[in-house]
Amino acid sequence: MSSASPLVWIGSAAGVAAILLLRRAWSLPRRSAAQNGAAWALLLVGVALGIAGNGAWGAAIVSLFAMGTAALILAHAAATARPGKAHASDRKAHILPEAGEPRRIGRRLATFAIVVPFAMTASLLVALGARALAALAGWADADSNALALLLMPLVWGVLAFLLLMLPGRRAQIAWLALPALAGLGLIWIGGAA
Amino acid sequence: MSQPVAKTTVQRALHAHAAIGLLASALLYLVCLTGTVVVFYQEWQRIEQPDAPEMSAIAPEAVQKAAAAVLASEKDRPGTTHLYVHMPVPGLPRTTITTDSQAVHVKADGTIAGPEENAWSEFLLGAHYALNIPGLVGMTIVGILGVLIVALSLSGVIAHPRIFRDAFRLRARDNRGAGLADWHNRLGVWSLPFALAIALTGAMIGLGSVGAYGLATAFYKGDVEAAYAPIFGGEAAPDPKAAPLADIAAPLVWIAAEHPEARPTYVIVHDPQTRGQHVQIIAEHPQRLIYGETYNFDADGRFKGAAGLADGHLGQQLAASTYNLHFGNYGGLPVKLAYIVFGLALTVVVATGTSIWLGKRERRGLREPRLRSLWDAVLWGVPLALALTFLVRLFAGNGAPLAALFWTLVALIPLAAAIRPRPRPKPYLKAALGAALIACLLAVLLR
Repeated sequence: MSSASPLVWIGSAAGVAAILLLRRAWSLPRRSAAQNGAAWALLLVGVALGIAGNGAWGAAIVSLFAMGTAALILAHAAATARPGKAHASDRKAHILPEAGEPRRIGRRLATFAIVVPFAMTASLLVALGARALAALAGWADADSNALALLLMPLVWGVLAFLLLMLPGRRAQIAWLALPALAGLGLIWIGGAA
Repeated sequence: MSQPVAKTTVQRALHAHAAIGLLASALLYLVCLTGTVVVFYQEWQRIEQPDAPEMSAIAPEAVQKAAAAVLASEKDRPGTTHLYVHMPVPGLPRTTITTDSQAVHVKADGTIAGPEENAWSEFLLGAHYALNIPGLVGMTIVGILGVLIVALSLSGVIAHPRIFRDAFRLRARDNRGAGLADWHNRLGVWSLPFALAIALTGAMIGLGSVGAYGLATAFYKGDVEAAYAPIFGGEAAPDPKAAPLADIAAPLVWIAAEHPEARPTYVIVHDPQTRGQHVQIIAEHPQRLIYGETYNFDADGRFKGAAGLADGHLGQQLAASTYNLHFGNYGGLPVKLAYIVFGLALTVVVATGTSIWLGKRERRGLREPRLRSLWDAVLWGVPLALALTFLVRLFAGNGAPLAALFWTLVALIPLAAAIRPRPRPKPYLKAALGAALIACLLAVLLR
């Protein structure tokens, strides 16, 4: 780390300053768009400096400094917190049935099937479709294959969340089927083996 | 004040967050905890076998001599398909040669020092990587857990509209549930970039084989190696006819001369002592996230080209960066310590998630002692099982069945808690964990 570019250290300092500024902005009685904006801009500048200095490695180091600063501020907040009597939330998450409620095991299994195996299949098809599209656009195999390997878990994570946010089965099936069919179409157009 | 996110959206996000969390909470906790501990993978190996020879560097001729000696010791066994030389690096300044049938440490002069004994470190890595399940099934399950962390991160942010506004407020000592929720939300929001990076890279590693099978099926006529080859480079055609061992020293000399900034971490001889053998050197590049560049050499030690992980296609650099970004070995001890802190934070976020859910049910009058005790058994039983396996490794030796012991404990402790949920096992398990950790420390210091 000692031979890192000076830009990485300047970026790290900007990251630390950004977190301190966020701490101040978020403690104000009224939201300050100027201070919030300045803090986020400083954070972006820090990451950009990290990238300019040592690429992805620099960005990772700047991020660690920013998160480390937040961790120290939180540690201070934890150490100085006084015992309180605030009532915790008891919002229902509607996961397990409460007294008198039906178990709905079939419905739960169907939700699991939609979010895990079906969403995985749909994500894989989307990733492969993106790979086919990238190849059609003239990307090298290395880039298009890496894109597919990156997209599959990313799309699945986002899709799993979106599917659970939808109110009904029809919407869930549509959100599964549309990207899957689009992926399949692209794979077919892309001249799959 | 206007609500930035609709109430129904928040309620659905909370439902999604809780559903995903509960589905996989125990496994997520286990993977996060083992992932935190395995950040010190190199250091654990040094603790396990403190008397192995260490060196800051080794001469190329000594590596050649050691490889020949290891292969000579295997004349009565089937020929190894690969020979790996772990080169001394600051975190693990040891030279170790691994073949299909053995792993031995090497002295600086190239003589064999003795067998490598790092069973606990390997067990720990296996638990994190694949839940100690052989083949691709375990890795895939762990990859799915990475996907679930991505979904949990998204739903967590939407389910808590004030999560950023309250990001510095921590009622650490509130014992009515508010404190627990604050710990969960604050650590969650500040470890969010880390959690997303770890989850996504972990999912890429774990689900890599699923993606590669998909790529192979769709675009490479089922050839999985062909799908990986554009990124990591392909394998040369084997030729099993016998031949003298490839020149390993010349490639190391070449790297030192041509890439003095790069530090070799591994030498790999493919199909050693056959006419198809070839040598690869993996070398770390400073201030890069990639695990290294792969330099290829023929059996006579002539340079044949690099894979391009350092300066090739962006996709190659991205794929080669996932491992270091995930395991935190790209900046020495300071980065490792940061990964320990954020890894612990992520583990606490997972642990408190289910505790918060149980607490809410209790506050609504739903007392479920069995469920509460089961979660206690997971929270405190998993680290206790880890500590006990470490003690067994130290006292029973490298051959102890660590994975079997760990998973037996991880099954039995919750089973006991389910059979006898009262009194709550938490105080007993906490005391046992404390005692086990002190015993681990004493055992290491007094060895």
